[in-house]
Amino acid sequence: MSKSFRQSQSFLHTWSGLILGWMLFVIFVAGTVAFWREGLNRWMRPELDRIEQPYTVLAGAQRFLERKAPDAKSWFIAMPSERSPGAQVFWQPQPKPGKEQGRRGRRDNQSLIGADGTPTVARETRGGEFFYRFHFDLHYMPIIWARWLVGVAAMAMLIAILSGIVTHKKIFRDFFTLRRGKGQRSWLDGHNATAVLSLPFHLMITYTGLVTLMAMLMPWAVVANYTDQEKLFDRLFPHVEERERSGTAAPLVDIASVVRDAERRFGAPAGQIQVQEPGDAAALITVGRSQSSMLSSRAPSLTYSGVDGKLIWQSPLPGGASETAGAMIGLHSARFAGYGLRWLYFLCGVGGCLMVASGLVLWTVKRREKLPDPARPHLGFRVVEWLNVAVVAGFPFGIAAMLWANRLLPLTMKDRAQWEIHALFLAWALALCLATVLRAARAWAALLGATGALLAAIPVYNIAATERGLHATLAQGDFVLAGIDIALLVFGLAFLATARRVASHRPAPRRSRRREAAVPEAIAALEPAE
Amino acid sequence: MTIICLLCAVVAFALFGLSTDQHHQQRLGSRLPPERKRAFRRAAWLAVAVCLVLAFAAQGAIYGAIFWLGALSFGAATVFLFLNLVPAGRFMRPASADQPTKSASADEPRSLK
Repeated sequence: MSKSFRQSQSFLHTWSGLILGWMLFVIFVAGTVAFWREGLNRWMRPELDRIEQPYTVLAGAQRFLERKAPDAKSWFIAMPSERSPGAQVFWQPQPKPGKEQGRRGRRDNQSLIGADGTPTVARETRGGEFFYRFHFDLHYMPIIWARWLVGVAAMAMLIAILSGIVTHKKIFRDFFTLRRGKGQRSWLDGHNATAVLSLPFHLMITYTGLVTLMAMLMPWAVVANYTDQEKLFDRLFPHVEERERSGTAAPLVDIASVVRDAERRFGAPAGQIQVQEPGDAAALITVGRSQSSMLSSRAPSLTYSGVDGKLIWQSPLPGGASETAGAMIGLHSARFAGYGLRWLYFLCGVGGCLMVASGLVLWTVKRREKLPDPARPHLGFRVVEWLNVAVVAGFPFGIAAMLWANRLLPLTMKDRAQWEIHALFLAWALALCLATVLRAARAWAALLGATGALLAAIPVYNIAATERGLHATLAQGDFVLAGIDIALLVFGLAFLATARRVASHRPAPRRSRRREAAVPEAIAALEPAE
Repeated sequence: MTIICLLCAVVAFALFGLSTDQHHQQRLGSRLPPERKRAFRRAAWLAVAVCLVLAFAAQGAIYGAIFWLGALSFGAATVFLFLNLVPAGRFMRPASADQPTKSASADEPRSLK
């Protein structure tokens, strides 16, 4: 391969990685956390008992909805399982003539049915859902902008990965090399290691991430074939034809028996349940297969009559393209993954976060050596260094603050769930201020140390102040909650250890210019490019 | 089966790791002759293949492939961390007499590569 090609790739790698690198870091961290979305949904509501009997909860959900919204247009019930905090239900009232039907007001029309089959009185929180939504919808901005930003960042990531493979072509030969305590060399080795150790994961997650946004990023295939959005939707997500409300009242069958039948036909657990026109002679119950039971995220569904519980419709087999897209999205979101595979996903995600972070730091490490006057670096360098501290150290600090807000905010607080999220951004803003006023090395140490202390202290607080301390969850065999606590402890200690190393780090004396110039050209050319 | 598959991946990358000059020298305390290097590499690839078979057997055709890649990443990371962070010597064979001179010179050819 010609040298100039590799150099051009190196340029591409450096700049595609840098410009959106901070956003990539945030997306990667939030996405990695979101692999434990269901676990966090439970962890962030420590009042709730684990679900032992899903059908009891389901029956409770039906009783609740029949009392609360007997004449709704439709009900939605997320089939409870031992992984979920309860059965999330929401209902859509009958549309009022002349009024636009929106998703607004959904918040007042929902409830969470707990393990005993009654609506829970858990703390108001977004739980793990926040991290999931945040990693593609961001926050405080219109969703469509956010998705474009994320989409562009993901494309930059794909470019950075591919050009990185070319640039650091020695990564495969030097697979097991980590030169420690050698400044730039060590950073480069660390960056390469985190990249190459889970390279299949990085490629997969970036590519399939783009697939989830493909209809937005590349709408032309859709535009060329479908004039009507609705038609496209029907084609992609087939569903039974809607029925008019007949006006004749008829009691709804036991949803649980319908779900049991559907699960027998699927040979797998049920996921979403939708009831249209409940309490009417035209009522329909649609049961979708759980996404945790299959690779593709486009799950088949069955529709039953709501009056006698007979099967009247089933979704057609998906086409090849739809199935492929579904499988890729499924591969990305790992809903199918059991705990073993989920841990692998999570660890690979952590590797990805470290890869992005070390790449960003490497940019400054590499250039610091060459600065004409290290005491007064140029503006670009200062901005990158500042953003590195503010994002790479600041965002985890924000997450730690959010987890504490989840534990500490008063339970009766208005808009409590929103304030948990505000806590994240307030802490992040604080980190930004610290990064502005402190010298970079001090700010790194302070933020990493604070994050570590906050994270490691949460499991201790859980033991002292909640019923779901580590001892209790381990005794109950509730390894998801226990695992989250242990992971927080481990990450907390790792942050503290990193902070200590940063604080005790003394930059090596600068190599004199003369010695550097003496390095023969031939050797310099053979050194790993970056 | 899942656990055996993970272990197999670790073994595979341990063999890959030990087939590099530097780590072989550090861990096993002897120079790496080319033929042994080839043997190590071959055994490592074999372990990768066995890992694939085990992954398919454990998780089925669809998830097996995903799990295989995950297991390989896991094995590679484990071995990488072990070789680089666990101080050598603790697991080393009794050092031979000419050990110190060899390890001192071990770094030199590397930096020229």
